[in-house]
Amino acid sequence: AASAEEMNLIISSALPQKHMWVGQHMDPFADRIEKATDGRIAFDRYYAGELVSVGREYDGLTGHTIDVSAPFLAPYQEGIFPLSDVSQLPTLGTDSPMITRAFQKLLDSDVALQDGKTFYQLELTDNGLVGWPLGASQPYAISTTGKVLDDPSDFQGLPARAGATLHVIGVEQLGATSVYMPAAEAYEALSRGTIEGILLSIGDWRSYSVQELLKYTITGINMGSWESYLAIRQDTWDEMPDDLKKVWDETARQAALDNAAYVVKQDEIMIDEAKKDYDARFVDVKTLSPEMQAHMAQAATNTWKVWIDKMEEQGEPGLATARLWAKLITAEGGQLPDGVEKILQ
Amino acid sequence: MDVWLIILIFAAWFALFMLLGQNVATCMFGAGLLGIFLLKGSRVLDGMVATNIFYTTSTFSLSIISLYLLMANFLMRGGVVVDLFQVAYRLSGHRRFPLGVATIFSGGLLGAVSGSGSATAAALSTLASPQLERYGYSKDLAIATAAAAGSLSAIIPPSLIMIFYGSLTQVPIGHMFMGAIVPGLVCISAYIGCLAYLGWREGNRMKIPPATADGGTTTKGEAADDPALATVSGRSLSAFIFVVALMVVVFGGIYGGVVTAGEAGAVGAFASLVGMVVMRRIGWRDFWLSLEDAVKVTAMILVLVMGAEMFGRFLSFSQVPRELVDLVQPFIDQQMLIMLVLLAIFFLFGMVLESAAVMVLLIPIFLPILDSAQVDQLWFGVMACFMISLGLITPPVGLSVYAASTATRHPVERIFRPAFMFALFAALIGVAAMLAVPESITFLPGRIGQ
Amino acid sequence: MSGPDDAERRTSAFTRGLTLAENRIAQYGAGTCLAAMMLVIVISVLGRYLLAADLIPGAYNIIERVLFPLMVFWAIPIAHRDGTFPRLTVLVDRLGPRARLAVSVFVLAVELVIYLILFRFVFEFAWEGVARERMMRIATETWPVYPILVMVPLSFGLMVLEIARLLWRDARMLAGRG
Ligand code: NA
Ligand code: NA
Repeated sequence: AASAEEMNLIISSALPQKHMWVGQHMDPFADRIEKATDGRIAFDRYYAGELVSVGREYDGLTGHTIDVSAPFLAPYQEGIFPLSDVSQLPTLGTDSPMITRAFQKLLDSDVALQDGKTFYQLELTDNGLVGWPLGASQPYAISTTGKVLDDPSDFQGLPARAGATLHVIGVEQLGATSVYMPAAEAYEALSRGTIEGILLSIGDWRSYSVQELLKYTITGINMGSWESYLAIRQDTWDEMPDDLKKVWDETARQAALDNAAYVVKQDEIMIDEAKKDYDARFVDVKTLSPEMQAHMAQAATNTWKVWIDKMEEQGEPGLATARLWAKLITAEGGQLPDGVEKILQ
Repeated sequence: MDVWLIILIFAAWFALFMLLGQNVATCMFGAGLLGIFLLKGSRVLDGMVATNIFYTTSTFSLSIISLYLLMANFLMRGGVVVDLFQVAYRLSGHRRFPLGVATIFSGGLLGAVSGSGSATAAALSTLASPQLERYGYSKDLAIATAAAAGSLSAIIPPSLIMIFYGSLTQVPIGHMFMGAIVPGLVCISAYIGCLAYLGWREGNRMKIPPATADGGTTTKGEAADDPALATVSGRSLSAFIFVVALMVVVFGGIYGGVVTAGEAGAVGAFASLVGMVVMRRIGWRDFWLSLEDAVKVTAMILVLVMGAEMFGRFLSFSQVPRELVDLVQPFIDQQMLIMLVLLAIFFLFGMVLESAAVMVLLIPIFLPILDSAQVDQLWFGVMACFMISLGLITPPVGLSVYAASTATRHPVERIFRPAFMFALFAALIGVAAMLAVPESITFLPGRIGQ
Repeated sequence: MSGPDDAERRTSAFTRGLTLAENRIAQYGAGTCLAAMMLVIVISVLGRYLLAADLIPGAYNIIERVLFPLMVFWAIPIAHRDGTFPRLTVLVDRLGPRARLAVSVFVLAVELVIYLILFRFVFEFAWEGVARERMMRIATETWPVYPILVMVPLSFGLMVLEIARLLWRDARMLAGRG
């Protein structure tokens, strides 16, 4: 795309500028790179799917329509980045910075998962990409329009919306009825009772305008954070002089951490607002009855198991990846649901 | 090459082939491919051309179009137009002006369960225009009235163009439908007002006896009735009631928040099928032909969207919309002015182009302007759809008038003269009302499911 | 000299066959997809209200990723052949018959090039998609997407044939042999 001296790169987002992965990640990242390299790297920025829409980022990158994708939404590139979903496995006591750091370590890890290849090689290098984490979402939590979830039986038949595959599995394991619908329909569906529950990170409520509708939320159990990449095509990366690569790498790592710090703050602001303005209740999982805690832990554990089995069935190193992820999460101070250790044996 | 030169070449290519009569989708494909190639080289095309084409069809909101088309096709093939007009005809009491009003109402009622206008216009023009003539309207005005009544299918929700706008902009389609109800009623009123005026003018000129001109019974009386319209049969009445019930189900379902707009389309289509079969109005052959018609029109629209994507990608690369926003910046506070200009452009484009084509062409260019002027996309969308739909009866390309002309074998240009008056009347009154009272659009959508 | 007549007859037999095939695909193939879409939604709605259950998990995906794309790609060729694609005819209508024919030949030649380019892109895309086992997500499962992918070049290929036929017809007429 450019000479060694000056690189003019197309950076593209399928999301609008007001989305935190654009306003709080892509833009600050691009600004800092342009400044730190004194304009030797310059970006043409495209937002909101102007060039490449959600789910077509991989085609856009490999087809040279764009050079850099931020955010690169790996879970939407159907079937191409199966292991990247690992961040969506349920954990306890985790937050965005912990997930973000763990994910960076997963990318940096030299543990071979399959055929002597690391996570990075399997997911990124083999697909012709170079990548860094974004600031992960805050924990995905189960919320309802008012129904109090005190007892495992309260989940039975609760119509709930979940987006990502692992979240759908998680909702089903809780005993709720997963209802499939596009995100844009969530508000309408919640307000008319088509669904009574939703799995979402609290900071994201505003993006779906559901903050006034959700009255009851169980916190403390992370039903899986959404995480993905800032990605650049390998051949473009290879053309980059080493000093620029170094600036890029440092900037990308820092951008993810800053993004994560922002995400935490957003969650806190939303929780305060929901409590104050909308009478919402937030209940920590540890304050619930032992049966309820056990039920949720069991659902979380089963989600790990279903995912690992699914991956292995497809010939992917699900178990090895889950093991590595579990290790990195606990090293960050997070906990695994009871029973996950056993599955990982 | 200089960006502006490339934009010029792009625009010239597009204008040339449009004028030469190449279909709009191909014009957009061609101009888009050429523009992107000149701007960025052939390599960037690898990542977009095929994915745009393929993933365009994976758009749920566009699939709704086919369901509403199917619903309308079942009803059309079941012949409910005749029944609706028959009932309206009876209610008019065989008086001149009320008969014209009845024709417009039949179009409106049919419009509330149908999404596009040509079929309605054709049917009404064969049915209604002979009657209108018999009661003292000129042939031109009679057929134009039928064509205008047919155009209500696109103006009264549900409407294909509204579904289309919703899928291009992420405005919920149910909100578009609800928002367009009042404007649709305004349009009916405007048509009736226009008919009163044109009929009065004609009455003066043609020296029609006052008894007929101002609504008295015609001297020819009922003996001259079309046999098909002689009496309202139980069959007609049941069809009439069925259509009204269907309308209530679709709108009630959406307004009550029971179903989404997409689901309402499917449920409505299914109910129409069951209703028409139970009333023994359609058989297997009609069933398959209804499906075939619906898929063809949907396919045509989807190819347009694919072409528009190429066209739009070039616009993004060239940053034309952003430049346009900068250009408009000095006027950005004057929402009304911007709205008026944009709506006028929609009306003018609607005169020469088919409605879906106008939408795909103008929306990518105007959306950034609307954004930066902070215009409510629902509000604007309903008005834009209104303006485009009036294109059905404006010269030189007005599909409703074409259909009516074909059905009655009456020259197009003679129908266009009064038809254009209908459109102009409706445009002026509609825009004035909607700009003056934005709640006429935004009130109902805001209450969905409450 | 039986050449042109024979050629003409062969072409029209071929065209009739193609039209019939495209018609059948649209009516029964695409039509069935549309009917299925309708039923899938009706069943989902009934399940939701009568049984409080999601009777067809991923109904939304099945429509968006399978039924609707198949419907569209199967219906495109006949919609194109029927000449229903909107165009601006105001100017062309004012031309004399011969000028109109000349314009048509020019426009069709350009159109043919454009669709050949598009065909190349979609063909490669489908080819790679099959080779790379491109997937799509349906509810929590991933399904191979190739059965739908291969319909794209088929659809565009048929359009290329139709444009070539029209171009051939008009060019011959322009050359005075029509
Ligand atoms: Na309508
Ligand atoms: Na027009």
